[in-house]
Amino acid sequence: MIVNAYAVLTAFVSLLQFAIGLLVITSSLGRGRVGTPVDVENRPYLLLLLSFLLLGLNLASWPLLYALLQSYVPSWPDVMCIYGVTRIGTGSVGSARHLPWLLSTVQCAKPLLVFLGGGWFVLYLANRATQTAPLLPRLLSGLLPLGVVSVADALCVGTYLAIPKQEQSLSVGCCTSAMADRSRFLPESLLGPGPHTWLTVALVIVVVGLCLGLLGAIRHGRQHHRYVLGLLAGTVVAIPLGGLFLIEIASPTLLQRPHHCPYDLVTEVPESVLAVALFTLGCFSVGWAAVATWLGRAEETLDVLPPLIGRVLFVGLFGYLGSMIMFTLEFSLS
Amino acid sequence: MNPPVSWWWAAMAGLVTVGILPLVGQSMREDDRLRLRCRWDGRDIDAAYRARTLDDAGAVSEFCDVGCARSWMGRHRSLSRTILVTDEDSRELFDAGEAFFVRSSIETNSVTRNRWHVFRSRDRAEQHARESRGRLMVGPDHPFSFPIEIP
Repeated sequence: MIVNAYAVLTAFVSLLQFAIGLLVITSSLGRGRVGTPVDVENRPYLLLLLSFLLLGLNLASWPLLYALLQSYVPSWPDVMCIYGVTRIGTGSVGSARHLPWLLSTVQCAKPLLVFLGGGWFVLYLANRATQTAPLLPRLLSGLLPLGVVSVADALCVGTYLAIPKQEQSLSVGCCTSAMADRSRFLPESLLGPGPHTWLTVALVIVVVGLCLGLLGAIRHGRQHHRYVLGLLAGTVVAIPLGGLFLIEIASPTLLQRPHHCPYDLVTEVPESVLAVALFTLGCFSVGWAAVATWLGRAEETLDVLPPLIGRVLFVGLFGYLGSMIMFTLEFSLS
Repeated sequence: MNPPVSWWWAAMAGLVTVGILPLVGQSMREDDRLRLRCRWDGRDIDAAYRARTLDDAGAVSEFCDVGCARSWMGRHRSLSRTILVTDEDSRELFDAGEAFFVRSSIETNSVTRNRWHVFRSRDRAEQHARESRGRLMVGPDHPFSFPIEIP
């Protein structure tokens, strides 16, 4: 166990996530049936306040995780960046063998939590604009997956923090093995050598298409199910393309060396993290708009939803455009 | 539904701001770029152990040490190149073909764990090998005998 300021802060946040997540789960299970206006007025205030706190904790815990991993980098002589930290425990025979999969799970859970929280918040905004809160049962049901994932995430982070980060290998004592093992800390290209121009072209086409689609949805009010489904499909294609682009093209170009490691960008080109965050915001916003389109439908929300969805899509458009502008400038200046 | 005009203006201001950030970031890193960085792992280069390669196209690559240069060349085998290494005593760069390489117990860098030591003189290389439980690496053990195995 490595104890530093970030580890203590992460442990504290995880503890809060765990406790509030459990409270939210138990409360949402017990209050699933809210039917009368009296129920609406009396019951869910504390639950909603707890949910907002959980949303904030989940959001804060995402960058905190990477700050923690960055603080662990000097702990091992061979490790040069966060990628190396994520590889600690690989091939180990002790409890450290669980570290890589725990970290992978946490790295997947963080964006999932932010997406779930954002979707829930958009439904909350739609519900708040109505007179009789027709979406309240759906809001309370939506807290269940949010609470479950939060608790699971907090457990994984807590376990990761508690496991000793000392690797025990069967090949200890053999300097040749130790040398050969060094390569596991070097991030490799996923697609092999080559310029991969097709990847850049494909991503630009998809993102420009998405921006035009979003502009159409915002300016001309095209927000029916099929149109939002089209935008969602474009986003589903953009996410893996964006990830590959970051690893294969953006990282080596911005770092100016053959490293396919997006983690290095955190310390060496920090503003590019904002570009990645904006791209993520763009993707998530389309997802949140889809959530509002499908789960926010009720007689009373028919007038509320179009402007709300329009604004969420507007945020998505801003995210995609901001990300494109930043990466274009970074590339032209590198 | 079209968002209010103020949103469009705010978004425009936001886009201009995020557009300025790369310019600011690049200008702040200008000094950083002037520092010599290893082509392989990006670390600052210690003049006592640096290695340099020049390929046929005239491109120069600088490395922390022999280990990083070997790793780089192991992944870029197609290019023919001139390799320069640094004599640990005089800190002068010279052709790797004239150098004597020793792998000893002494690490030159705690991160890369480089244990290659370079000398212009055979006597100094053998002395270092004796004093540091090392071995003179010649023939197939020479660090730049091709093909290089990826460490």
